[in-house]
Amino acid sequence: MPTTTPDIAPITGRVELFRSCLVSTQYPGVEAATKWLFEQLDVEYIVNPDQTCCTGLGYYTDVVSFPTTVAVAARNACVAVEAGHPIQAYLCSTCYAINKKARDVLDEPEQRRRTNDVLKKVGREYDDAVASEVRHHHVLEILWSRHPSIRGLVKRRLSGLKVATHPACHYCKVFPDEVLGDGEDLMLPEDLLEPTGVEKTGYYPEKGTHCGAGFRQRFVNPGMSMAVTREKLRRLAERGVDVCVHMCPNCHIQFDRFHDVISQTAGEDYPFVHLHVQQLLALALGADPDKVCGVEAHSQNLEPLLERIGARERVSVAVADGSAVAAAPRVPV
Amino acid sequence: MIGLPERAELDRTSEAQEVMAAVPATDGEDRALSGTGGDQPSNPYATLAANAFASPSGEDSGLLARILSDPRMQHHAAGLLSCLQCGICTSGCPAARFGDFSPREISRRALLGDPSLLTDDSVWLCCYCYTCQSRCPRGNSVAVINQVIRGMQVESGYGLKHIALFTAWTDQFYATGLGGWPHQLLEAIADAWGDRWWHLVEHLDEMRDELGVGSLYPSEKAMGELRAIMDETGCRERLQGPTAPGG
Repeated sequence: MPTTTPDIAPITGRVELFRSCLVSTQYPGVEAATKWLFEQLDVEYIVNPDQTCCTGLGYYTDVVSFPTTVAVAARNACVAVEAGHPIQAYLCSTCYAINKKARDVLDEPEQRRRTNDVLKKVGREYDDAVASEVRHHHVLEILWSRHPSIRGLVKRRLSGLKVATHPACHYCKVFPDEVLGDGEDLMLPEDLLEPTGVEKTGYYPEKGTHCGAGFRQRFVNPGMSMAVTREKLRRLAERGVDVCVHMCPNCHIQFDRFHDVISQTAGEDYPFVHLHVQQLLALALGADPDKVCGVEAHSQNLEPLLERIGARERVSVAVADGSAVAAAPRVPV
Repeated sequence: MIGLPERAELDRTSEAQEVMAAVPATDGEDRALSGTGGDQPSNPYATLAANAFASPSGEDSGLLARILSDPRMQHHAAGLLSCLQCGICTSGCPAARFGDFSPREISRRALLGDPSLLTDDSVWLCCYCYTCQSRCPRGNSVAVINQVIRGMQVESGYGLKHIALFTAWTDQFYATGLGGWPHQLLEAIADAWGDRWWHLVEHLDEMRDELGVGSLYPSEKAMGELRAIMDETGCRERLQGPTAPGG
């Protein structure tokens, strides 16, 4: 399958890896794997302790107003520019969308004035200098801008591993004109993994359907939420995928944590697992599954996959109750 | 086998003639359908369209203007005003497919300035997936309209029942500077997630140490600034509902 993601020039400026609340609390290995990849690919980056959460979950559960969200985004932009790392690189697609939305709104003089009235209280100003310096990129865009270097770094070939993409809505649909590729059939994750030898899935029915989380819906309308997720799991199973890769931690929670629950409830088999794109890429480049990718935080049993790709010694034995995960020793590095 | 209808059932000629008879003459003085007179479109179809989108009561509720002027609508206001009612928003909407929600209806009622939107519970079914926005041929965004309306419902007090479960997020954010799903929310559904998730909860700090990802929380300086911003924008007061006059 040919690569369709458009080539872009290497993003060479100084990067602030924008921390994500859901990555931090649910899948910290996504952050560690991203840092590890940045180091492999010579991305100059920092993690900035003065950066705060984007407010995304609060905003999209309607408990944070838009003016608060814009002010927080403006402050974070000021902080990134102040640190000399103005390229905000997002692990989470909601952080990406929230900050880009604030960028557009802050281009309107009246909105900028109102926001700066708030920022005055903390001694900051979102001025033309900040606006012209700050940049917003999903982490996958940073990695893609250096993708020609990946082939030479592959340590574990993923030959024959069939990979499908769950395109994150807040990357693909909020700013569709700024997507790298086709937001209705995003290939960025699979194209990024291509040098590792994966078999790409490309388009599949329901590819553009959201994960089912729907912010409040997972908690308030679980029936609707699970119905959406199940549809997607069924379609992925029909295509015979081995791994569904993610680019947003909220989607990742929905699929990783509910995969086995829905499978058991529906009496359907979905024989594949979920990983973040950066975790699978890091594994292919030789990263440790525990100390870099943090697989212990996942709800699914990833041990069979790790054995298959040579990231674990083949020691686990299949047992009826699925406790093979406990039987697999952690490989010292 | 599906039977084809008789030709007569498809013949709407006489019905069409009745409708057309009701359309005012293009050059006449009869503006009964629009009810306002003056500078009205001379095209009879435009007149029909103007009436289709007129407020049911004939009075302007101000809601449409409020939606259009919201900063979030900056790239979507013209899209709302030119909504075709084509329904592509609804065809891709997960809440329409699996729930009782119609983004197309929200768009239509927003154009009408229909004040019943401010007490409509269906807007709370939107998943904020933005499929409607990304596919709309006119650049409209029902996802954003829903954000505006939900916000107005919260600020009027009506919508507080819909956010009661989530105010813990704001408390947590104010106290720690960290977002994430509050534990009281996750624990309600975590039984289904089983032991591995509880293992994560109990060992998160150790896992983070091993991964070398540092503190969960932003710096003290960042938290101080964040709280000042939340205070200045009335973030927590907003969740208490409207203040009584003089209160």
